[in-house]
Amino acid sequence: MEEEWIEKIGKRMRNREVKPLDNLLDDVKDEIEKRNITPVSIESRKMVLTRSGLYKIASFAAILILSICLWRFIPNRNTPQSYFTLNRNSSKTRINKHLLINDLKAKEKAILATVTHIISHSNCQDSTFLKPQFAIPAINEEDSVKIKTDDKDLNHSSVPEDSKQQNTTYILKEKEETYHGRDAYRHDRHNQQKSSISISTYLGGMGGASYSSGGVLLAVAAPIGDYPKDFSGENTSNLVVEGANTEKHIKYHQPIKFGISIRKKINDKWGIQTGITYSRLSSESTSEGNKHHLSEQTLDYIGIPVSASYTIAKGKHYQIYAIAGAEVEKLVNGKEKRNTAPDRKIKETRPQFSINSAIGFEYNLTKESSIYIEPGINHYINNGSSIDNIYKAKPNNFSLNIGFRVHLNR
Amino acid sequence: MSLFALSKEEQIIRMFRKGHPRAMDMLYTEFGGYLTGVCSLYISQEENQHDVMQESFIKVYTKINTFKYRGKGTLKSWLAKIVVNEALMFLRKRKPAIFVDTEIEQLKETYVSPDVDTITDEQIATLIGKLPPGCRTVFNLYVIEGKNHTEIGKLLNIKPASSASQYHRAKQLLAEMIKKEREEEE
Repeated sequence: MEEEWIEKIGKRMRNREVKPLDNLLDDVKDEIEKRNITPVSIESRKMVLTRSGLYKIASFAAILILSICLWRFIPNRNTPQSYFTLNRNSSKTRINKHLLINDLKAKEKAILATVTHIISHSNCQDSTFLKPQFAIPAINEEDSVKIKTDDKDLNHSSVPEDSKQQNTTYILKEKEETYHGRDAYRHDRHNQQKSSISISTYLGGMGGASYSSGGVLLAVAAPIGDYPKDFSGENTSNLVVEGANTEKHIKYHQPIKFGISIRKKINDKWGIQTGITYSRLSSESTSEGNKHHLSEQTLDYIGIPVSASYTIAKGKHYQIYAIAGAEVEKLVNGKEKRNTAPDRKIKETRPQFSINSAIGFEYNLTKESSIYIEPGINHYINNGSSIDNIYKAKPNNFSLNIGFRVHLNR
Repeated sequence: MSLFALSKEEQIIRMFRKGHPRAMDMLYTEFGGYLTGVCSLYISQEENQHDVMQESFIKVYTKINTFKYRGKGTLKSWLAKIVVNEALMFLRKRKPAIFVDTEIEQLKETYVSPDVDTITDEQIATLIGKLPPGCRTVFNLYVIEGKNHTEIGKLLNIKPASSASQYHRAKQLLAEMIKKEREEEE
């Protein structure tokens, strides 16, 4: 431990101010004019970042186009959503009835089970039989659903008697179905309302690598890391030896992120989700003067995201939703491999906060599982630490998450 | 105070990026005294300080658009590092002996830790300025900039052991000078 008097001197000298030198400012201005010096344009940095800029534009355009497409192809929104209408033009079977969806909830499960049972007991290889999702249950005798059936089309033989008594169930030839897409969509959505919890895993990344350059000489001696001493000067030996300006370039590799999340549906439209994520950020530094490779940095973050999702549209096999939320991340492991000095660990005490939004496209593989893709936008809030990472270099960026989702109780 | 008000440092950076004619004036007003203080610890003569400071401000002028603001104090720190760097560049040209390994006689640690509470900052700075250039540079880099001897060795192109010797000698000399200064005052 350093002696106390030395520490006192260091502290006092670090904060010391003196009277500025006479005429210095004027001399500086004259010299700038005399040498015809112009500042390094920020455009040079923009040029370097053109690649990531293209990613941004492309991602934004993709989201915009998808949004427009969704808006156009979403089924008619003007129809009251608490009802669905089933219209079929069949000579053998005719149904025309408004059914209140809310009234169906309690009974649907049992009915669907019955339908499944029917199918399993009938000739399932026959493609004319409908999947359970298309089996329209009549609720009870009070529901004035008029059903005309043909024995050829319906196979009640294997239906248990108790099921028959409890529910009126029918199976229709698929070729005779003329459901409107809206009806199918609503009915399918109604079915999926039972799914309240889902777990998903995902892999995500930001829109491309990034480059940055900046700082001069000792000023960028060690901008990476939350060091007690913010001035290590590891890359300044070249400066002193060669007497030339050394500009440091940092190349940020594309971050890798994966995690697991759990989503709870609040209602048919809204859901909340949280989970845990792992992110690896890596970058490498080089000096421009001699293209000398200086160091490689890897940072491992663990994060907890919290977000809300809103279902925009839902079809038989797909679901489209918007998602927005925030995430807090903590650096759990950071290290820097240096060519000119021993490797060192990087620590960061401050958490990293970010906000994000995305549009999700989910495709149902089975009744219980689906895959999804979520293009989105993230904004990372500067946490004020001295760690130089892509979160600070590119606080606004586009991301793409892809994953697999398991629905626990669909 | 508005939540979204820009700090002084952010204002200065923004002015430079917009090419505001008063940007340099504002920078000088805000940090001129501090940076001169930093410079004076490495460069003792005022004329030389002037040259170093001038080059430092020109460097700042040309490079500030590449500076990435990361919170309060980061601009100040960046500016100080430029000044230190320019000071070392100056010393390298004018006093190359600093950057050559020299055998320094290991003195016995006979000094008593001086009481620095009763002397002013200016007195301390003046005494540091009286140290031999090599000792002074190592002392400043170690004590004020917080660098270790390995880092100083790389920076000055000397062995870490030489840096440690220089530092040890600087401490002894400074302790003796402070003691003498206090005795003269009394």
